[in-house]
Amino acid sequence: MSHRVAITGLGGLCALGDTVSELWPALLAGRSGIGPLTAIPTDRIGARLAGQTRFDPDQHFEPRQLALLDRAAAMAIVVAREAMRDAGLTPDPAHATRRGVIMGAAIGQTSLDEAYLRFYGENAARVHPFTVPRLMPSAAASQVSMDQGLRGPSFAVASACASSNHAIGQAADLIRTGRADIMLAGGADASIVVGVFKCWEGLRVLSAEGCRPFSKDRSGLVLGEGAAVLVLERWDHAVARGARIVAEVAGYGMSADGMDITAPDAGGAAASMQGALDDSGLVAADIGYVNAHGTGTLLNDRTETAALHRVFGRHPPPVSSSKGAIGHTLCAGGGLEALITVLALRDGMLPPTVGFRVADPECDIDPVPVARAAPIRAALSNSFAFGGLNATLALVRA
Amino acid sequence: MPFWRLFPTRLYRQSYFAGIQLAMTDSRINEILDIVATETGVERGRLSREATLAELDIPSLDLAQTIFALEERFKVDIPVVTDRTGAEFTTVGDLVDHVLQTIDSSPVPT
Repeated sequence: MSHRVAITGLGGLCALGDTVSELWPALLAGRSGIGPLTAIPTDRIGARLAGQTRFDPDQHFEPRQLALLDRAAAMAIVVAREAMRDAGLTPDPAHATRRGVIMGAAIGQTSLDEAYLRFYGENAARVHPFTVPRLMPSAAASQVSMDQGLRGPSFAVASACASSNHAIGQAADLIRTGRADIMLAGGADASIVVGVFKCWEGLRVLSAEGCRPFSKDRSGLVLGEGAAVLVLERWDHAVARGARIVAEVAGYGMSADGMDITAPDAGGAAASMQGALDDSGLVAADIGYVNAHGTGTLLNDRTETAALHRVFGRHPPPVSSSKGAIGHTLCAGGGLEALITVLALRDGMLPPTVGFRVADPECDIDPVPVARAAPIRAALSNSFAFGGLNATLALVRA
Repeated sequence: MPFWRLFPTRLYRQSYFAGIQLAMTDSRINEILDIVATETGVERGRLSREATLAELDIPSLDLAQTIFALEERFKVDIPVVTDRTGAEFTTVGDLVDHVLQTIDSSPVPT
């Protein structure tokens, strides 16, 4: 038997705000969270921009707790708490084994960078003793499970920048197949550290000017940090407890390009979107909005546009990229963008592609330069990772 | 399919150097082209100024690897051509000019 999957709670933080109620109005207002890179020293790196958050772990945790938390895991716990509150849920020991969490796998870059800087850079004799439990890519899933008393299926999924889309898809499957009643799913990524920026520099895709997805004057991507968690719940379970259902995960699609470790492929991207339609029983004409992967690189934007035309024909639905406002939050991107897509469905508002300025004839889509009302019923959210691992969520208004 | 095929070859070309004649007499050019050939696996003889990276089937990753090798050899940071991030060079000449200009404007390593 296949159960329907309700979304009953949302938590998120990114460069636009510390909570869902902060970030969503900011996005609709067309604000950009991208700004000067001030969180780290820039004397040995080229980047000057980032989507930094105001997240301050000290406001949420005691020093003893923080010793065990990478910045990403701390973010994950905080957004998971927000999502649980939003869903009207509290830890429930009697049903803990029916609840789990799946997060996009993100290395605890803050902890890794700090440890290597101390050891290699400063010749320190020792690194922090909890470096390993902090940096393991499943740490956020573990920490959320501990904080929320989840004892059901829990793990992290690695597919680079599609990780949290795959995580949400997998979590939805566990509910559909009856293996769990409530699943927290999403991702958290805190990669604003010198080592990560240095590594990205070599790929020559970081913008010095700003992130402008689908805009002819694009100049590359901007790295950001953030986290998002969605509460997925068996539909009947949500109805029985009188929960407010925000939207439904109707299905999802997955594909691999099988082509190139960085360059995307339109065939793989189209297969991912088509897979989401097929899995959810929707047809192209049902989709009123697509939240694009939209990194703001020439390659991504044109490939994704080509894929949209393959799936939707000559006139795809409105498409916007959130990365122009929040930056590329890597392993958290799918989670934040799913969150934004759910809010678009909830409020009947299409979020804009912040940073878009000049139409690109090679990207003949409607990039939603300014937010606008649209009574959409269903939407897709794309994540197309380096290495050609793709996942698309199909979300439907409740 | 090489990603360059996804978009048309740019008509826009820019020579940062004073001119082709001067550039072609610079002895560093041979060394730059040798490195390009080694890193991309493209025959040295095909690396003319006018050859486009698209027609040579040089993917973006090979280009990144090439630039890394050039930076290591000449001890310079070769900056991204910011108005064309992600697709910086149309022709071999574009690349060579940009590298030479970077070397010439960089302080001599000590």
